[in-house]
Amino acid sequence: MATITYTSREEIEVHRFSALATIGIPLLAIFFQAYVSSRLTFLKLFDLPLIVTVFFAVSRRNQLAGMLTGCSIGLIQDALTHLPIGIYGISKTIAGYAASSIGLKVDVDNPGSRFLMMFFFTFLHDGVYFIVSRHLLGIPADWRTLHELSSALANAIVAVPLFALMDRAKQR
Amino acid sequence: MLLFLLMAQVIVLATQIRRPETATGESMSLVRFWVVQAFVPGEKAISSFGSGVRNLWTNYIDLRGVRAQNEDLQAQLDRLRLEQVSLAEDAGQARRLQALLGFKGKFISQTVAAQVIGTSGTDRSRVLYIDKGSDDGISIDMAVITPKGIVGKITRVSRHSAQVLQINDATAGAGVMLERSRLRGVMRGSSSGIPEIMHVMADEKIEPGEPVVSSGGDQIYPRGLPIGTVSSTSPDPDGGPFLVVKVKPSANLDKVEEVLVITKVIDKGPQQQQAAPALRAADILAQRLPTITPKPPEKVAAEPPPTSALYATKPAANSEVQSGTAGVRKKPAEPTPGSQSVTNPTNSGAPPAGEPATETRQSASPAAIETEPPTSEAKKPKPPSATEPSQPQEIPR
Repeated sequence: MATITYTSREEIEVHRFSALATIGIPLLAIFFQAYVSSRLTFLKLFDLPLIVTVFFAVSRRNQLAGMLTGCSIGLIQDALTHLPIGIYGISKTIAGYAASSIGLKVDVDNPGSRFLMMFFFTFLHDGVYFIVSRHLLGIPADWRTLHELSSALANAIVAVPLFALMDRAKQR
Repeated sequence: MLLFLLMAQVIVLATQIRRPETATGESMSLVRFWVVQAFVPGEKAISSFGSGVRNLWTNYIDLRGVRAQNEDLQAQLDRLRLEQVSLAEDAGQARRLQALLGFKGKFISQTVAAQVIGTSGTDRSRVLYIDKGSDDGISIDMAVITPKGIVGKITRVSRHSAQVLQINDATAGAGVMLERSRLRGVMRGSSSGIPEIMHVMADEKIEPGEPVVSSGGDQIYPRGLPIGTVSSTSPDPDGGPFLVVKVKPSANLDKVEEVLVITKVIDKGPQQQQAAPALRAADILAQRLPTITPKPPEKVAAEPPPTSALYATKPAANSEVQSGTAGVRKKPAEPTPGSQSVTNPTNSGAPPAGEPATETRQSASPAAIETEPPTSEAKKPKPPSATEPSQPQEIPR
């Protein structure tokens, strides 16, 4: 029997995830992003770990859980780069917190709201990443509006079917 | 909350602790080490499975058109052979000129082939992971190339994998030179992945399409490796006195699958390169020169042995000093060219029976003749002694 790790707020909906899903889905997303994007370059436009972060955050509707999920996924992503550890960590912690906060107020099961939510959170995540890397650490980075917009759009489009797929891992 | 506090502390600890890498002496944070060690085996496994399937397909199944391709390649090979002849002439001339000017160059002497097994997964950090590490002789700051051009340099190494920072990353840089205009500069990557050459004055004439090669000034990439071509030049958008020179990398950095890591670069002067061909030329010349009629054996026996023969009786320490020249002197006296590459002076004893010492000198190349001492000296050799250690060294010069 699968172990229950988290519960969402009982008043709205209770979404639980097994330990396998809690650990496996984020790791799979990071692995897929790191490995497959070496073969399929366009995948670098997407941020699968961010989609997973937002999904878990809005499903659990718990800000602490959202932060922790974002922090863990972000730190692992950081470790795969050559940049200081913590940039993705901070960005995804904030994204996780914001997503779980929104999950308390918005219907997050609607595909339309999922699309808009993902678009917004990608923009927020990239903005935080830019500020931390450029202004906090002084790493050479440019804000490319068009690129960020396309990235946000791509993530929003992919998020809708991926959320539906990951819904199957939910336990009530 | 307890979980959060504990986890935060573990993360802080793991970020601070650095794990020393024994082979390279470099260190890596514990978090990074854990993640890399966790992901690399899976990436390697999938990568080797993928290559196995691909090899099976390409080497055994998908062989249509190979015969026609083989014929095309054969024709191409013939054409390239002809080109090679003229290029060899040019290269020889360049070497001679370099020798005259006393140039020293860096030459790639050893490389390790590696396969790309992953990336960072984001274009904010353009790094690759390869399946070779410190156990294979990889260490930090080694250049990584493909036959088409430079890929980047090694930034982190673990035992069985290494991280490569691509040259188009925003934090990467390389010393470059424009091939035609010989203009030197520093190339930096950018967030967009298009490298730019920095601080080129606006009055410089740079044409798009001009090849860009490594200048060797960064001490990482050996000189002359292809980097890319100038894709565009434009004035500084900030109104500065510089040009914005964008470079299109030669290597397809988005689809790199196999790379070569330059593990050894040697400094080599053109004189050293010329040494071997000069000897061969001298041998050929010696064979073609008319030989003097051998003198009667009894007269030869009366003559003193050549100086090289006398020095051969000295201790090994003294003999090693003149190893190069002793070999040169003896070569023409050998009966066959194949046995002439004797550089050990302990073997350069008395001339072979029936061959006089004078013939040895006359049949030698001009260079060898110059190094030979006058006959009078050869006839009056002093016995080696500890008080005159420099005498054998002076003779060849």
